[in-house]
Amino acid sequence: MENRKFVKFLILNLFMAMISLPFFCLAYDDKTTHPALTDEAVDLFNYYYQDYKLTDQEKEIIKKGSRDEDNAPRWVNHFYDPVYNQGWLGNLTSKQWAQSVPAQSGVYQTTSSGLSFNYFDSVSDYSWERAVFEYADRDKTRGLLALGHVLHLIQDMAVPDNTRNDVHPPILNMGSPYEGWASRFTDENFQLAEQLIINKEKQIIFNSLDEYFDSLAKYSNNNFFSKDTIFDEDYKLPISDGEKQISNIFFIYKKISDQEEILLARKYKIYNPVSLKYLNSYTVKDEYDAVVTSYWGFLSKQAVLNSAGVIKLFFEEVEKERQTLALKQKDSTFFEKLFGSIFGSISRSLKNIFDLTFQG
Amino acid sequence: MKFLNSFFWKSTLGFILILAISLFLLWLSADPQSEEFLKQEQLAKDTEELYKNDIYGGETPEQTLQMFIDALKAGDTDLASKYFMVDKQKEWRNKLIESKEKNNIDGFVSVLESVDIKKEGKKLFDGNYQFIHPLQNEKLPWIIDLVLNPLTNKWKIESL
Repeated sequence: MENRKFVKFLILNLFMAMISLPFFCLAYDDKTTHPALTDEAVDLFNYYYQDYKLTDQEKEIIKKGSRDEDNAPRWVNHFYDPVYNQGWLGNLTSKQWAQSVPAQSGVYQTTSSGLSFNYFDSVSDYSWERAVFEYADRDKTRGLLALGHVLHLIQDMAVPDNTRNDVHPPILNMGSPYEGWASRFTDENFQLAEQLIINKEKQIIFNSLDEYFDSLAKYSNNNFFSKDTIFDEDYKLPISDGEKQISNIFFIYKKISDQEEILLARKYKIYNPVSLKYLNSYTVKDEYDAVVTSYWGFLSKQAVLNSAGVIKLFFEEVEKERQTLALKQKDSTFFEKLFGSIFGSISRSLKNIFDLTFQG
Repeated sequence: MKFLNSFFWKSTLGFILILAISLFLLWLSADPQSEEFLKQEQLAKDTEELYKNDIYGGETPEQTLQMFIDALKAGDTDLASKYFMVDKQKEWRNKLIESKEKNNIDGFVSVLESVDIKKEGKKLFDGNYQFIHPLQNEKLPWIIDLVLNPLTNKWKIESL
């Protein structure tokens, strides 16, 4: 049964990958930006948690996972609007996708999962539970690869377009200007962990993956604009604290603290051919890339701090699993559990009879 | 005893048969290609097709803007709207029809021709270009925003 499912799913994936991969890239660039953010997150984690220190080889496996998550058709589930709790066009939110073994296994609407095949068997499943299960109970490499996939989803929450339900045709540079601009960062030219360590900034700590998704999605949704949601009536935030002129350009900004502010957008004029009048408008593009640079300064830092926190949570969950074996039990098929239970009962009964006969 | 034996075996066989049929039905239902999944894929394919087939525009931002002005001068609002990005074409088709009905196209063209195409263009990051036109007695400039469709290598108007 699993072979048939696997072959069908593989054929479908190969087909979709062939037709889609050259054209589609969503949120941060999967070849450059995601590995860059993941690289820094691992460095930050390694500095603060020497006991768990990940080797260079392990880091590369996690980075590979963070690259692969954009493979078709996974990217349709990479959106999470925390204001309306929705994904793209009714698809799963990325928060749900990251934690849904059935959805990632390609079995959306089946009742037979776990009946006669193992719960964690699908080749396309890189969910959070799978990551923990593999690392703790079966295959460490597969576990780290799945962790990389989850980090990709967390980092996407630091892209306003992904959290403000603003999905553009994701065709190379025709998507979000912020994402297009940020694709210049690679694991070779992006350095942040060292600066964070100097500033004594630590990874963000939460007790669940849900909290990471909610916190980062709200941060990017409430403080930044995406291309087509500038002062959109669907979103009350962010609110501009005023206008300022830099060189010859007028920007609107939002104050974060006494020293820090986000350049929200450039103010300019558009022309209405019906009324023949110029109207005010706003854009995240400007000739100095000042707005997208400002966004990157805040969002990349949050992406790294949250990713490092998720790595910490991952190792805590692995420890828990090693003690409880809860996921290992979940992985057993229905028949394994049934027969395990029957043979277990017989074995326990025989042991009791033996004990009563020879020791009682 | 013979009856009991016969009943026992019939019941056992019946149970096994029901179990086998149930498992077969469950196996059939374990189809990874849910309707939702296929719908998503179709949507992605359709979007890509739209952009692949969008052949309207120039090889440079300057050419696209000039083609847009020429279409307006010829009164072809339908063609003019096709120089916009795919997701903006419908909105602009309606705007241009309304402008034409109000006899405002000529006024629009003269405003567009006030842009110095050779001097006011500015390349932003990859695939992004703007004409930044200063306005008299205004601190804010008028910006015409263009992006490159990499599937056709044509420049498209994003906002104006």
